[in-house]
Amino acid sequence: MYRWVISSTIAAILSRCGAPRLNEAELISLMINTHPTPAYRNAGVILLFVLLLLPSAGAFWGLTQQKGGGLDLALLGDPYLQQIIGFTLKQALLSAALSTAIALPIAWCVFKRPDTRFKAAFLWGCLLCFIAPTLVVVTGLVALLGRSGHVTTWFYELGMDGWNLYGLSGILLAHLFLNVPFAMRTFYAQLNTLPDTSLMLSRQLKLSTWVHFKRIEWPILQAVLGPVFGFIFILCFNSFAVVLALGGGPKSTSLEVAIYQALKYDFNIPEALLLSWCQLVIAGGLYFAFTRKEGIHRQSMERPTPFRHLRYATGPLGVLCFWVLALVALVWTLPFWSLLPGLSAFLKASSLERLIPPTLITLSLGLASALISVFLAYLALKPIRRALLGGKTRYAQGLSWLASHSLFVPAMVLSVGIFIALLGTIDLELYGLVVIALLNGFLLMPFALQRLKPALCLYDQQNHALVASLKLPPRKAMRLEWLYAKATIKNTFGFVMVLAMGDVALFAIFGPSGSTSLPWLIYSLAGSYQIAAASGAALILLVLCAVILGICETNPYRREARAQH
Amino acid sequence: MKYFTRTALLVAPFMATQAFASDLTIYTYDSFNSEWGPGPLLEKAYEAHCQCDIEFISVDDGVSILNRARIESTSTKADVLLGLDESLMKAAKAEELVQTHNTDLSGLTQALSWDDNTFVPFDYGYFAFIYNSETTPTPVSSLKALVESDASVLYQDPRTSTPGQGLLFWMNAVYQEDAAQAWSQLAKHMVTVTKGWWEAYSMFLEGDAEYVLSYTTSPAYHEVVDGTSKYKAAPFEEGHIRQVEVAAISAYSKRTEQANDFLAFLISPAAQSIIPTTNWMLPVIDGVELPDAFDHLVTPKAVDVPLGDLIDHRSDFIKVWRTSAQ
Repeated sequence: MYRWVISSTIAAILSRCGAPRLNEAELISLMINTHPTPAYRNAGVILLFVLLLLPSAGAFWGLTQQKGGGLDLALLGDPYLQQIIGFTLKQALLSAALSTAIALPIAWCVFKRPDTRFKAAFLWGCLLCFIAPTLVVVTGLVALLGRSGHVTTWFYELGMDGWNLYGLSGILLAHLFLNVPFAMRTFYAQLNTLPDTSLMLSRQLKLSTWVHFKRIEWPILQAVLGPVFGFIFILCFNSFAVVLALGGGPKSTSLEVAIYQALKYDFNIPEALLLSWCQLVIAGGLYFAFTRKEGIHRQSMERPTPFRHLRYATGPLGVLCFWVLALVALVWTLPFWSLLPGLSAFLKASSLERLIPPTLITLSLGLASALISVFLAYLALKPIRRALLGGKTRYAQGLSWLASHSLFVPAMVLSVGIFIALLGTIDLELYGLVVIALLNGFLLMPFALQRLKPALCLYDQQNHALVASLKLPPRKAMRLEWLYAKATIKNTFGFVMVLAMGDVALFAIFGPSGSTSLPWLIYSLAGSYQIAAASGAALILLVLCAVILGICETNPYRREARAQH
Repeated sequence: MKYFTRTALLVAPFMATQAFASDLTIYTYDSFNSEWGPGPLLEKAYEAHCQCDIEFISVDDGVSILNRARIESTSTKADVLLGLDESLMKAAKAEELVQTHNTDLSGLTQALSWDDNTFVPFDYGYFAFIYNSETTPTPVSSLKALVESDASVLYQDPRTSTPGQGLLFWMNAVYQEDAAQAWSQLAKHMVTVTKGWWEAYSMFLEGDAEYVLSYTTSPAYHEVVDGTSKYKAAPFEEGHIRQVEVAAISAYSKRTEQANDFLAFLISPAAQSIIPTTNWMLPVIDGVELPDAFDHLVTPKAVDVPLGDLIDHRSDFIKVWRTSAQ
């Protein structure tokens, strides 16, 4: 049924473009087959990317339609603008560099430890840190490291009187808290693709740990270094509330703040548009530069093998790895402890029953957005994978960049622009939630793409030649692909879903009155003196996310751990 | 059928907010219409009084109400814009987004001295620095004393928040030509500047600063809800910046009669007794029965400089602030 709907829609679009009519089978092959006729394939790719660029283009168009829309070019010479661009670049580059540098040894330690259960829990907790709401980061860090924080008192006792959370240090700490776990997971997944044959060879050659790292592990890690760095750089470049709250004054102003001010408080659309273009060009350009060297290595898939013990470190090194991980786990859970007292405050201010409607809304929004973004990412990956197989790396990079462009479009510009563009065409009070789900799906697509890409490219590398030579029908080929990438797709789905569940920016503009999502509830509680209750609600949201991640994370190691016990 | 049920289950939450045509549509800010805000109670009280159906549509905050009215222009659904403040009144008027009302304002408290044929005030308050009287037994008594002290201070960004903008006007009213120097002196002992009100206030409650910028009415919340009177507002000799929250009829509303009736209700004792303990601001009419906590509040005077003069220079003030407050 759904297939018919999609294929007939595409057929309608193609026939408008003057293309001859196709039957259903041909259309399906157009969508999923690796070998449709090139003309239709190109038309499909163009159509898809036009679709992907539509929301951003619509937003910019919407803003220019507004009275007084245009570009304020005079602003470019303003030293204020140059100062904030400088600061934004500095904090984002530092955050990304430190995050990758700290995540690397941690990932290595995880890789070297045999404790399957602990590892599964550790990796699962990592995702929770990545999605932690601003409220958790800000209140958690202040409770620990603020002027009268629990850890600060130790610092003072140790004679570190000069400690001050507010400033660049606070911004970096918050960004490290959010992004190290994310980077760590990516590095760990990458290490897991090391083929056992390499490990066996290394063992036979009696390579020392250092040489083994340099010759075998480092080259594999290097392949994802650029993308991880670039990705974190973009996230920190766009960071807003954290930068302002912990930055300690107007010297810590990021470009996002300026856009927010221009669009919201001054309603100065020409200024907002110019700032957005700056963001698009600078962030987009640097992201392209950082991810340029992305390489796909000949690797094996993450899968338990009889030779797995070869990976693990033994002796003092193994013990050291264990203690490093224990320390990391402790440090990263600390900010969450500050949420616990909030739970009773929340139950006092509200009741669990009242949470049901916002929870349902949050879950449905998350589910719908995740479906959309994973589907879009899969579709966008089709031409990228084909290009990579054909050796057209540049083309593939270009397409990846285009597909990820929503990372650099300022959130505020996107939502306000689309609000203007949609105004008068649909009733936003009625379809607000549908718009949120669609937009969030679109915004989170780069996250899904980033996670699906390595697995699917690896699949191509290992199986494409075989699938092509067997001339498998598209349906069978797709089934094979699904079996191979099922775990990754499920993981990605969970990850994107919890990210979507944390949205506040879109809900602020499109959320219909009378309905509340969980994150929205958190901030409305915080905004009306009930800060403790807000942290309680944040804890509930995090638990919900944790459960979803637990359901979606089918880690082969965990499965094995279950079998062992 | 099975598929239908599944699809229906997925789609159901999206359709849950089916909007029905109401007799009056009011745009307001989110916390006004939250579970704890005055919105739900006002809606109930007014609907019982008028035998009609009103609908609150909430947006992020006061500025967003104005922006939404600007963007929607002639196609707006709003009959009443509720939750603008004095700094937004001028823009709303200049862009012809509001129309005159015929509400009788003679019942308003003298303290407010309000006379405007477009905007009806529904509550007000004064910006003030809040301190913990247990840890700061002798608070400063003027803005100048605060700036010259070495006390740790938290405030909000004037570019992104209303209280922050209030402090911007306050500093400029008190220091005028010397504002830049005062900002940099304050910057030496400020903790940080946050995006919104709650970040700074929660940091203050964590004990990260001696003073936080909020409202004179904040202590009433702690006394009524938390049962503690340790948080107090410091009265300043130079006077305070007043924030008056207002409502107005949208220029594009055709249901002006109903809208005028609602505005009249807004300043009636019935509505005014709801607002103070739910929006934590002061009532605009005299004789409203309030919890004792409101008697314990400081009653500050307003600064000498008229707010209107300050509002006109907002963008210059911000430019001075962003270069000197660091």
